[in-house]
Amino acid sequence: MSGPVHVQSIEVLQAVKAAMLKFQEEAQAVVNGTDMDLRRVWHWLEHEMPSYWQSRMKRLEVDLNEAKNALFRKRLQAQGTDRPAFDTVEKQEVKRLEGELEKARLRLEAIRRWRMRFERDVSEFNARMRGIKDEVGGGIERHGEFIDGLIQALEAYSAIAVPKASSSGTSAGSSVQPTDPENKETEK
Amino acid sequence: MSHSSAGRLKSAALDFSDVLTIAREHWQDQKAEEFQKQRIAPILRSVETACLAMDEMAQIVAQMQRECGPIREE
Repeated sequence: MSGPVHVQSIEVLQAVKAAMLKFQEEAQAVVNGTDMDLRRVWHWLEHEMPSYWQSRMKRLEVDLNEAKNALFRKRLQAQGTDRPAFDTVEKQEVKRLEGELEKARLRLEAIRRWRMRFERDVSEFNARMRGIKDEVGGGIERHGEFIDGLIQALEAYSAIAVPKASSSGTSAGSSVQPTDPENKETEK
Repeated sequence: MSHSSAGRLKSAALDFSDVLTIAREHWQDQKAEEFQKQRIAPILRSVETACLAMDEMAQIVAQMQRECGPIREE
């Protein structure tokens, strides 16, 4: 595409390019941070939580066994006597530990479900992040080169235009028609 | 993973967009139009898509942490 370029100053284009590069830097940091966060979350789901709940289950099984022994002893003590076993506390403890054990078992089941689901979620997420990753990974750089082409064309034109402008009293760069930088870009 | 990543990306895009708006007051030709439509619009669309994805992922991760993490006593 060719046509006149109307910019009041080369500085405007330079400011656009600087802002674009600043955006690229920030976006790259966000993208990198997000990738790192996702790796941490994966590790948490794949290793930390399964290990946490498995060891908790083992501990709870030991505690439950001990609680059942205590309940059994209480009942034995009352056997052959007229008095009741007074085992309410022990029964409550067994019930509490059974509840805790069930919660841990359900958490491990949830982790297995989430592993499958999360794999799909991450895959979809990565697909949606592809656009911004492409931009920060090269797209923005090409847009910067496009601006460089415009700047170079304007500079080349004003080098020619200034003497003429001086003689006519007009300002160079307010409306110029440089070589189309796009052509240079496509030649690459 | 948090909503702040999306916020940070959106802020960066807004800052960039502000500079462009000012620049466009001084740059109003076919090249500027082309630059806006073919190069800037896709960047801003990709930011929008990425921000939505990051916000949704933050919600997914929060739910996963509630359902798989240590139980918080009330």
